[in-house]
Amino acid sequence: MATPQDDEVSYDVVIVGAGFAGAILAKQLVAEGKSVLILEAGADRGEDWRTYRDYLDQYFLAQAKTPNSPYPNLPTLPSPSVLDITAVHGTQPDTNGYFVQQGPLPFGSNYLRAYGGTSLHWLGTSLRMFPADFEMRTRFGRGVDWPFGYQELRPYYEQAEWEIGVSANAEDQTPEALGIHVSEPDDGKNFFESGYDYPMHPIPDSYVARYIAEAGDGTPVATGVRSGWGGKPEPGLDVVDIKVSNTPQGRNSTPRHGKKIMVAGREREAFEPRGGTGAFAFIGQRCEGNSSCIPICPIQAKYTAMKTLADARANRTGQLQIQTQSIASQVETAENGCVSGLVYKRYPFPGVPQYELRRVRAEHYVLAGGAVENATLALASGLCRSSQELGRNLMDHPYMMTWGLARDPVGPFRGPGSTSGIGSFRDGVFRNEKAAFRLEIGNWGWNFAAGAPYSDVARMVGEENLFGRELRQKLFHRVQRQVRVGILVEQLPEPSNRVTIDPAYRDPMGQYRPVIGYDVSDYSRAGLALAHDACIQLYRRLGVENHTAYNPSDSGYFTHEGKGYTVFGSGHIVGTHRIGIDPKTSVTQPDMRCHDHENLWMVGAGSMPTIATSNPTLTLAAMGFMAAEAINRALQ
Amino acid sequence: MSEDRTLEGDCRELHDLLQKALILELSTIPPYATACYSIKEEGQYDRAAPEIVNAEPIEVLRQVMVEEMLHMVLVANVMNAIGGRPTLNDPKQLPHYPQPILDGKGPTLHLRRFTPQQIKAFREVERASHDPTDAASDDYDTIGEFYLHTIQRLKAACCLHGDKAVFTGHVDRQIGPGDYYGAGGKIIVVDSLESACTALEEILEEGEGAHHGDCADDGDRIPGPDDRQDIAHFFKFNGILHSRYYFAEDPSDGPPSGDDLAVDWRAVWPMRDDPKPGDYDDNPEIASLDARFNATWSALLDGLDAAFNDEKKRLAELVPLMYRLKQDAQRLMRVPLPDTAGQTAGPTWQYIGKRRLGPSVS
Repeated sequence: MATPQDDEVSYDVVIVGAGFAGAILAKQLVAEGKSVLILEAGADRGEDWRTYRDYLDQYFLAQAKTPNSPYPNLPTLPSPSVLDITAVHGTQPDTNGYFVQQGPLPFGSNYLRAYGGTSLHWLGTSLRMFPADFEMRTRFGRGVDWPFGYQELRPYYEQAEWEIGVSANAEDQTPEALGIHVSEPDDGKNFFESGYDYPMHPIPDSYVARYIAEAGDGTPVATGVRSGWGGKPEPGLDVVDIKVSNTPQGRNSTPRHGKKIMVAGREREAFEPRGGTGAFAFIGQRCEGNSSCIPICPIQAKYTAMKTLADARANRTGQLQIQTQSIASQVETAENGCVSGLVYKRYPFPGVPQYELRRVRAEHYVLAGGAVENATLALASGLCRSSQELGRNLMDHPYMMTWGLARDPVGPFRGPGSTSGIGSFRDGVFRNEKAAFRLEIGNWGWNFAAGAPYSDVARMVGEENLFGRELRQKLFHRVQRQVRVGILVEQLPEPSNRVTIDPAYRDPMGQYRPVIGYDVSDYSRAGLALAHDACIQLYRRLGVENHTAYNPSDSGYFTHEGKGYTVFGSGHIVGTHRIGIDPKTSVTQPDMRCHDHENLWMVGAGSMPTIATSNPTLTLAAMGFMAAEAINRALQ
Repeated sequence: MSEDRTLEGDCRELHDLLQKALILELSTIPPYATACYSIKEEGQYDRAAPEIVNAEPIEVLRQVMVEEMLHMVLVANVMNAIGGRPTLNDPKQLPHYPQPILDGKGPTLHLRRFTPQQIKAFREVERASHDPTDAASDDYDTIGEFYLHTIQRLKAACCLHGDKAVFTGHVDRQIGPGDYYGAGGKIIVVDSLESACTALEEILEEGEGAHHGDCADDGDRIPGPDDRQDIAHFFKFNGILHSRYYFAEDPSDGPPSGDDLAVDWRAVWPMRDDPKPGDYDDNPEIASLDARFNATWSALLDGLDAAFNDEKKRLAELVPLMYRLKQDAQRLMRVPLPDTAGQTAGPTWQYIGKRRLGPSVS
């Protein structure tokens, strides 16, 4: 290895990765007067509105509009793509894409290595975890407990909701309002601080969500045997009623006016929505229903980390440097375990495997590259060896779909990808034996499930020989009735689901590629099976004709109790450097400082000990605020 | 002023002036929108270079349009505050193009595609004027003077009869920040002479920037962390003509000094000037597309009329209609007219009365 050239300037904090977590940390540190450098591996800076227009052009032109399709995918800086996922056969790993997949199931999730990170293509779902999710071991004998509980995280959730700009009604989001039979009766108490509410009013429920709610609410689903409820033995079936609820979304709607909102103890004026940038600064103050949140919001009404980064850069209290085209390569440590420098590869020409090797120094170092990249870099640098947990306990929400045709037109392909879901099964005593889950009501017909509406056009033209008015009418009639429900099931932390590295697999820049071993346990499979049954019962009640089909040739196909199902990844990559008190069983301390390295912090969803049923972004953002406080303290 | 002015008479005069203002703001939207929609999008111009051609002038025109819409809401708020009834679907008052404005004293508005001549014409509409004698009498010949005149009349009426006697409207009829869907500036709830003047001055400033001295700015902040000022319509149009953005600090009598504003005057549908309903008599297919456009336009006007008169919630429902209006207009602009040298059809912007809209697919 060549000798790195030392940077002349050193910083209070160097952050690796300009995504959700890195942006929040930078903003909070700069606000306290710190000097911060962000190293971002990606080549682009979409905050420049011209670059953002380029992303849009790419999106309009892309044949397969996958989550990463608008964004740069350099051969020298690959991002995992959903198009690379194939079944893993036997002992031979699948090396199609960036990931080296060891199986037995392929890890179907992706992320984005670019300025703004995966926030560029997220949907915007901003759910809090529930009190039970922090006590999985105590309550259900599964997984692990968190080192803190829901109430400790609650003020940070408020900050995260304010930062992202979440649209929802607090009164609609309590466990009770969601129709959950909570595993402990007190869970709903003080779920929100009194007087707290989300910064913006909810995004209205889509028509299909209201259609499902009207006839589907109250559909009873038996989740299993309930042995105890509120301390009283109550044998028999626990029957949970389906209840459709609005989903909190990181997407601009109408700000709350005339009501002061207390955010983490601080009174706030009405929220000011942030939309587009540069010459397009006047668009995106409200969601307009462009129906392409994934992969890209054309008007930037959806939150991305670029908004927080722009705030951080505008704050002159401290100093923020953002350096793109800089791949963190090696974290160097001194004998006492402290990090002494960060070696990175700065490439002048995107796509060309040429780079300058440089070293930067700082008081504190933060890895914020996402759960997979954090683990890969830490493993490549030989860090965090006290526990054997680094890279392990990789979790995702295995994502399964059910789909059918409604009796009536339900108006799909308008508005955000999903405005509403069914949260009734996000907790319950059934978690002793099967995973909890959330149902997401899709708003784009069979788009993810069957490639609609393009596949419908192809079939009607190619097989049914339709054209002209007849084609339009039949297409309209069919597409308008498409219903799709997504299932997101929780996974438990398991040591065998893991990210490792192998010298045999490197990318063109000489960086380790993530080698991933992954499976979905019987616990999650049982949850998926229950969720599938719940969907079928719901469809029966609604008169929706079920068209769900799982094919044994699907890459994510598996069987459970004699039935076959197909899962995909949901991009919710969690758990590779979990927090904990005991250095033997966790990688980082509760404030996300590494047990083994005093001035190294690992942030992001990788810190989460369990994944629960909430999309992890809001939780990782809340934990980002927590970590920022701790780092600011450590720097004093 | 003479003492024989009655409260009733003054209010009637103010209602008439504000109704005129409302229709004036409305009249600018079809020409601005026609020019904006005539610009080709998404590589229809050149498939080898498929960036959205003219994304920037489209956005500048869109910004002006949404501000005109905000102006309509502000005028309606002032009108409602003094007990008036904003009317938007009275065929006798609605514009027909070519349409002279300000009783023939102002420029004439045309429905034309995006051309430098048309943008120059737009610039004239928004040109600032500071002739206080014109504003004091009713001899106004610019929009600015017209609003100054209206403000003066409003102040005079309040002075004579007292604010309370003039501001009698019910607060429920006010459209506030919680109702108004979209950007374009700050919505002002009007309940006093002061807030009424603020609202009317906001219209003036966004249009011509007149009250801000010698710079291009309009006194509004550009959303975002950079804390910069927006510029007035006159300068937005001038920026398109110069292919360059203005900075708020740029002197109003000089050229813009900001970044490049990419404009391609060729990537435009060759729409015929001032299309009229009779133009399509011999062509039923084009006539039906135009009828469809007019149905959407009429539904939008009906919806706005309802929203300004007690049905505020209708405002949010109008957003999809505006998208549909654009779609319907562009559908027309893609159809070549027979017996012309490649000119295409265009929307006629006719109000055709209250009717139910059919499905968007036929």
